[in-house]
Amino acid sequence: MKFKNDWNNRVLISDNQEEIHQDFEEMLNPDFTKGLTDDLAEAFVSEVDESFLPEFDLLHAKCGEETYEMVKTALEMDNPIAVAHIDDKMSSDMDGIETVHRVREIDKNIEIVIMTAYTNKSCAQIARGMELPHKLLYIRKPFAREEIQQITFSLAEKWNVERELVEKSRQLAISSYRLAAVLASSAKSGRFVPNHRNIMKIR
Amino acid sequence: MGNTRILIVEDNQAVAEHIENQLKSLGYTVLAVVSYGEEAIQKTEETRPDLVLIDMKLEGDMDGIEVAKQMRDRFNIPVVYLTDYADEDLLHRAEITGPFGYMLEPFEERRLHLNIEIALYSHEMERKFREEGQWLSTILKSIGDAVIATDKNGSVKFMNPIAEVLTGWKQEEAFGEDLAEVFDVVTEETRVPTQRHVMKALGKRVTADLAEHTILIARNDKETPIDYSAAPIRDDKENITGVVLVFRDITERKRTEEALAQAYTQGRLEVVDAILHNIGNAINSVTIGIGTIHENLVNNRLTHRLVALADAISAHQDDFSNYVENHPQGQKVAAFIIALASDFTAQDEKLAKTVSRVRDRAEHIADIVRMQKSLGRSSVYRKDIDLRQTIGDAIRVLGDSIRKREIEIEIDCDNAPKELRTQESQFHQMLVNLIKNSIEAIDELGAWGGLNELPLIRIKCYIKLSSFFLEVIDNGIGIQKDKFNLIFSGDYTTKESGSGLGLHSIANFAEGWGGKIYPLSDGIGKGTTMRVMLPLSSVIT
Repeated sequence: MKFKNDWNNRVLISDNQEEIHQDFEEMLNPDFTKGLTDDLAEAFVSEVDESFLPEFDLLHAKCGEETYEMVKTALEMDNPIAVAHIDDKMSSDMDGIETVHRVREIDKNIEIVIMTAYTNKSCAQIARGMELPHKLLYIRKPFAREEIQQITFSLAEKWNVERELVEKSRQLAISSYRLAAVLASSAKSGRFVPNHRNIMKIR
Repeated sequence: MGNTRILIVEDNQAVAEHIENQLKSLGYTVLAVVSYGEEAIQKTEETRPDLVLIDMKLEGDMDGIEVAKQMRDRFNIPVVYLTDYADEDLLHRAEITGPFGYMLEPFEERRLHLNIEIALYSHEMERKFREEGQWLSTILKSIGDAVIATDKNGSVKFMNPIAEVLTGWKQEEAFGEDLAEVFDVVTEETRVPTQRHVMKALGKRVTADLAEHTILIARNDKETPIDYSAAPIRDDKENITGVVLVFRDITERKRTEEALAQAYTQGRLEVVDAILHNIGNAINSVTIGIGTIHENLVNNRLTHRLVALADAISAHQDDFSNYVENHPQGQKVAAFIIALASDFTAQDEKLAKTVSRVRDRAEHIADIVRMQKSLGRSSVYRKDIDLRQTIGDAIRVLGDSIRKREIEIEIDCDNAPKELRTQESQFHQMLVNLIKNSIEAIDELGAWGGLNELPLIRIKCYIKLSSFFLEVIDNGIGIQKDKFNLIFSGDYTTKESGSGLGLHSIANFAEGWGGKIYPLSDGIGKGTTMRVMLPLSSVIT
């Protein structure tokens, strides 16, 4: 299933362990049955049951540095990432928490999920000093398949809805500005005639 | 003899003249002959004679004995009394003022000579003795350990300034007090008084090395952890005349030990954390993999389609040929069967991959558990290693860093066994961390601007007192003494980029082997020696 309205479906996985990447591939693109029968099935099966999950475009980063670079490049290409799952422990020079800080510095919209595994750090400790804490989620390993699917789906939806909201607000602001301008010029001429041209302006 | 300058104090002119002549003929220099005490003091002040001959019974306000006393107390000059008869009282008074020579009439040349020489000799001896005493007491006063000495009854006779600080008693106050009063010690855990051990040194005639975990309670109730030892003081006939007690404040050392122990515990936690992280990830994969398999088994769309196909075929069993040839659905049956076979094969391959991943992860968990067990029974994994070669390997690992900085490396294993039996990888790791730490210390010194000599790292191994020692000595930044206990905590680092965890993990290794690690440094800019001490049993079969 495609994400509706061709919404952004880009999800980044950041972990230094290969198996986690495989896990995410399996969880977020779980359909093993895709194939040749898809086109023919309609003739035999009354209702074609599609997965509730949209397709995700998965990106993989092995370390903090790579994660940061990917987010940065995506922004530069005007093709931003909606959701990033970032492991709190990465062995390279930049650990998970620092990675989150750096990513947040350049991308204020990205939804971040911090994956923690049996750490002695509390979530409160991790959250301390984080920018935009409402765009931050923790999940503890081991996590359930459905959990990740649902979280990713829902966060991606949130990202897109927020973007639409911003876009619509922008349009609304422009419209109201135009409306104010039309009203002002009408007031000057002493009368307001809602004619076709004026309405076009407001739009 | 010609250099010995003598003052004569004699109110009898005839006697004085007689003695003067004799002295001159003996080769002494006679500075002056005076008749009164006051005059004698004045002359002495002016001329500083080497010796004074004094008539015991002088006329005037000062008699001979009073003059002699001043000679000794004010000028430290030896005196020989001259007297014409033996007055017991007078002699007794003279004795009190000190060991002087005295001679009765007649003052023959031979006896005069003998008396003068004995007086000079005794005086010289006394001076030497006093100097030596002063020297010893200066040593006792300036050594870093606290010292208390008692007489044979255990009464305090001497305390050095450090002992005064630690006990809170001044020497004057403590003098003559019972040792138990001044040196109030209890065992750390059970609070049992332990002075009696000290007193045993008096009876036993042996040095009693008294163990650690002792608390000294000062006069103001301040408690200090100390190490101490007591030894009997013997005279030249081997009689015990007292006991000397040497002790030291080990607060700093204890703090270091505690920091180390804490670092070890913390390190253990970190290891556990890492293990759980690993196992957690593996379990995660297992759960997800099984979820995928389950999902594909119970909710398999291909199976649904196969069932739908079977249903369609069975509905047209009677006119199957017509169905496949003319029915729009039937015409797709063949293609659908072929497609299903292909899709099932593809799905099987995917599921097989998932199953294999789950199996790998499960084995990984088993491996981690096995590894932890083997760490617990570490001796199983010990093997013989060539010490020099292992050091060489560790240096090679850091070869680039060493070459880049042109650091000279010296290895001294002359007093160490050629081979060690130990856990190779951990020993190797420890060496690498220690050398790395030294390289960083040298970098730090450079950054600090104190690099005045060629960078040098010395690696020294030796055996001493049934322990194996490994020292890595650098001429880098050094460590402040008050930071010694911090360096293992994982938080401490002099380096801007370092984590401090290198030393922390060495501490873990060393502790794990029943050993210790401690730093030696004279402070910032003075270089560091990191000394690892391991029980011989941990490195030799």
